[in-house]
Amino acid sequence: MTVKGYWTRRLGGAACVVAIVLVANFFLFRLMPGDPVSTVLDPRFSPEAKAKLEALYGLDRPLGVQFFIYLRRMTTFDFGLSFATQRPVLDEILERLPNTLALLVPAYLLSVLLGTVLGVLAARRRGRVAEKAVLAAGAVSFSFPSFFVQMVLLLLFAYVFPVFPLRGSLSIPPPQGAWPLLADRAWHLALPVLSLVLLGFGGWALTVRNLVVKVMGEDFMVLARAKGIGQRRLFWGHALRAVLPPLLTLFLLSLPGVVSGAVLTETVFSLHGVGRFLLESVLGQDYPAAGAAFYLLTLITVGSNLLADFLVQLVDPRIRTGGEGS
Amino acid sequence: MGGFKRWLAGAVFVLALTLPLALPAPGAEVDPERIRGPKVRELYMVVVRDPDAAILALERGKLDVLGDLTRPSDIRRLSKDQRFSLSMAPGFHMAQVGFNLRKSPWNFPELRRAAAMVVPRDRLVRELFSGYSAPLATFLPPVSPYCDKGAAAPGLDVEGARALLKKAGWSWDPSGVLVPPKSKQPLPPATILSPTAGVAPTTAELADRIAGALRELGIPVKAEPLDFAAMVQRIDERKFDLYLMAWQLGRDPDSLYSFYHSSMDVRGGYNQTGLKDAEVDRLLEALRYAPGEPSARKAAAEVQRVLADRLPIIPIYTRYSVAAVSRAWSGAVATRAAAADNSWSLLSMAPASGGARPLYWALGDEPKTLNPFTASTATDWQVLGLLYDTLLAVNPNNLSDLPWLARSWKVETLTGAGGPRTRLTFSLRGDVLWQDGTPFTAKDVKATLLFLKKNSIPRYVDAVRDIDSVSIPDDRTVVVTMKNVSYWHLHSIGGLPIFPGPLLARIDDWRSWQPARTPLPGKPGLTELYGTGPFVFREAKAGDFVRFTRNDRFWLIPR
Amino acid sequence: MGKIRWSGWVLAVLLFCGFILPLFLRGDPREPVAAPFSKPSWADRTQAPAMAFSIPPGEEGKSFSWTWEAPRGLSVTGEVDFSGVPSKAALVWETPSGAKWVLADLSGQARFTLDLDARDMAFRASLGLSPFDESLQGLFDAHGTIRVRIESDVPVERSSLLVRVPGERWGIFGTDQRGRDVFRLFLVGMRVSLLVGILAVLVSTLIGLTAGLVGGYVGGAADMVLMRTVDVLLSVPLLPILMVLAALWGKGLWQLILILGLFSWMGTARTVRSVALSFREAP
Repeated sequence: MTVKGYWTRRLGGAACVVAIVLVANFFLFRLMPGDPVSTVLDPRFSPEAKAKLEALYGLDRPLGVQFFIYLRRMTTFDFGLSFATQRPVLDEILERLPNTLALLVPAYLLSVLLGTVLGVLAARRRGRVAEKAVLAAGAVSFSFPSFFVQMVLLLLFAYVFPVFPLRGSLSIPPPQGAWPLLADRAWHLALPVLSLVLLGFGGWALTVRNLVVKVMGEDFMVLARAKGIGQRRLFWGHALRAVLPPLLTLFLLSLPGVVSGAVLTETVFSLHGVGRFLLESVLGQDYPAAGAAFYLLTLITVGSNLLADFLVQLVDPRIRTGGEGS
Repeated sequence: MGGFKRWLAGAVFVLALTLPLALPAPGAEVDPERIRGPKVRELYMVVVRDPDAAILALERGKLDVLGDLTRPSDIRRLSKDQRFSLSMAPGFHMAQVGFNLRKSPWNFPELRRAAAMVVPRDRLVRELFSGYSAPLATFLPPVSPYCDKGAAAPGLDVEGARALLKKAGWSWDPSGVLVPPKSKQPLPPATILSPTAGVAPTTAELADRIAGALRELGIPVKAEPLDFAAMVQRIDERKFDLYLMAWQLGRDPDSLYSFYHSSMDVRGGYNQTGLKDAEVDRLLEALRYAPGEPSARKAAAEVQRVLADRLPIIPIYTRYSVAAVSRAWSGAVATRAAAADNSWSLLSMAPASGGARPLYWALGDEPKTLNPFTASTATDWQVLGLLYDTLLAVNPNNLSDLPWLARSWKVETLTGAGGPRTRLTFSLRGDVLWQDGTPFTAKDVKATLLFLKKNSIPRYVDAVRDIDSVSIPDDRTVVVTMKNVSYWHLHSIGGLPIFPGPLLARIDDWRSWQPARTPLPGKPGLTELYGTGPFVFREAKAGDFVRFTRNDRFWLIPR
Repeated sequence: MGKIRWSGWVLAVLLFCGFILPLFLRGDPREPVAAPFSKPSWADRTQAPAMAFSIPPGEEGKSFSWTWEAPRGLSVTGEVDFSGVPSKAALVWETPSGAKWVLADLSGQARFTLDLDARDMAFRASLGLSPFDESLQGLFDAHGTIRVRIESDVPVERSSLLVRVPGERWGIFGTDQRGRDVFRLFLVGMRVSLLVGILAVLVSTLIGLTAGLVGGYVGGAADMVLMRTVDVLLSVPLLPILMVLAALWGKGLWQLILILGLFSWMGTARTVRSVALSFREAP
């Protein structure tokens, strides 16, 4: 099979996935128990007022019509007004996105970096104290529940030793001037980022260590060693190159999970981000908001899947384009 | 601590447990007419979602006022801290078990009565809330001015319940399950719907315990925890036996109509139990369409007495609202009917010593929208309530009506062509200015009422639906003629936020209007989000805070 | 036989704590056993332990010595039967420093049922405590002997009164906000976590293994369908699915295990498939 043929099929498959998820999203939220109007529980709200609200949300129209409006909105990226805020959903998401990125990008990069360094270290020091320490630290980091770690961090570093702020992304009142404001933001993000790194590096350290150890034992490494290639070059040249593709895939595939994982962090530290928005729009039965948020998340997922495949091929052309058929 | 030591040995102290629940008054009665404020020059409403983080922020001095304390452990912790004063008041919260009266066996009145007699309210409140809630037996929260405390569900009497059922012909099968009269089949298993422990831990456990108490009597029920939306759906579809639900009610008894009138047993209505009772209907109509205060009060009392007999629900408990205020501030208004986190506090609080400084007030969630036409959450209105005034205010001592934008008012019943109708006449204050400096007049009130009516905005449609006409004989008088007779029109109209008339004329789409983001032309620092209220909206940093400054033109500030 | 690694031992201990230890527990772990937030019993000896006394009908009543800090909790429950109708009778509490409190007025009736509890706001109010002040300084005003008795002008025929001090220390881990034994909750919680964890992983591994093997080994259309299913499942929002399923299936341990298993096999399937592929293509 040609490379071109492979990518055509791959892209077609991705488009199918997006289409299926798009349809599923529409019906899923409407299948979910309750609806945006019936969960308004206020005895001062009469059935007529509720009917007005339903009409305002466009939920009084036939389901087919609603579906077509939904499809049009999703394909044109005009997601309509959120039920809860009555603002365009896209505005709501774009307003929160910088906060979430400012939290997740440094946190994710740092934890991958730290995890990789520690994982490699452990693999190179097999059987020694360093490896045991990394394994133990990794296991602890990997298995602690996030809200607990974050609450403890908050208690320690914002309350007992008030080094960091307790909440939010800004001091109140905020400082004047661009640089102080930037510094203030960074100071507010320090603790959430730190907590995410502490929680995130463990999984990476364990994975990297396992991959490297496995690769070191493979035939071609044994062969290379037999050829008399030096330890150092063996490791940096061959082993790392072999673990890079799976690491890259893992990195890209775990991206979507990171976004939804931001929910708890944003709650504990009172951050105004996309994670909370996602959760609140589902719980609040805000169909346009939830539909748009998950649609975008699907695009990220599918996109990073494709990117992973692409990059892996780039790094390691030996990997066959096959899999399907051949 | 040492206070008790001062009593001499041998003195006898009698624990007067026969007293009705007496809350020690947290603050003296306040005279709202004497309040002159606000004195706070700058106000930040700070968003802190996590309750633990909120407590820590309060203790670190990042917050001055924190309301809605519900966990006994938090209350205990803050009460030991001399830097804060706590206040507690009964609220409009009301948790109740509802029966599905459309279904056997719940349509047997004696079974409902017996069930009400085995629910150990006192013990539940003790064990689940460490006492920071009150057992509830009435059909309105006791703090409501219309609550008839004599009309109550029966108290705990397990033997009495058994005797009652026996007398009505019920029996028990060998395994202890109740058998209805003239039947051989024991009651089938049933469930109490409740929110899940993850969402509402105490409510889920409460349901479990109530089910346990009912099983002791021979009613085979089990708690069925459900996601909240799923629970509401089951109730709306009438697929339930019993449910446990908490409501946040208002000051007026009109909610009784929504809960128990047979016409409300429809889609979107709140008559979830399905009570269809001619006498209740008649009394509820008398209540809803009462021409004046005395007749409304009488009808409310009568409805509650009949409900205490029919028992479509069992009232369980009502939660106190508890608030903590930093002692660095003085003047917080805490009464028997309101904990300190109320708007009166914002009018009268001032730094206890030293110069002016900002006040930090906790918001438990972030405002969803600052458009007053679509805002629906309590948090939204905590913010908007400071900007917009209403014609009438509520007295924090006893929840009666107080003059506010209206200096005085009159409720009359007109007779004539088209049947009797209520006419409300409000005489407005002459010294009120909008925050942009223009004077407030009767024209603004008229514009507001007509705007709300014309657009039939869901949130306001119930209040303005029955308006027939609004006239303004002069700049200080508004006469609102309704289409029918009801004393409650006074509260519906008197409780509406009043918007600036010229601004309303400029709004072409109320739904997408974003006043907080639209600067007011020619008025630097002001946005279209302005009213006559005590505070001026300055900015909202989404997720972080809302900033206000004092409205120096506010009419309660002596000029 | 190989050496069992330390992680094996940890797992064994966890399994023992989760499955074997709860068998030795009696009673419902959800029942309150001591005052809320009691300290562990080994921690603070100045705090009162849990105790209970019955009050005999005689004039002497019940005396006990008190050598701890004033507790937050106290309850008196039970019944008193007089041989006639007393014109003056009361349940009296005498403190170590000699103060005398009437806990309940028992005059005018031949039979009384008492249910007093210090958590009731009315009780705190009548002690003159603010609603937020919980320690019972008035009744436990010093270290020494406390006497509780029934004073009456008619003899007491029968008394089943029970005075209970829930205590401020309890068990190995103390108690939670509702006075439940944290250690018991810990054991029971561990059992649930282990059960859900182990079984859910089992279910998801089984599904993932099957899907991965079929996809990797059979290939073709089966592989295509399976891998796109994996993609879809990885992209569809889980939260609304869980809510829909919970509404359809109801809530419970087994549903939870099944749902967790059904929605976490995708990673395994991918890994197994790639391994299967590499084996199939290996010479």
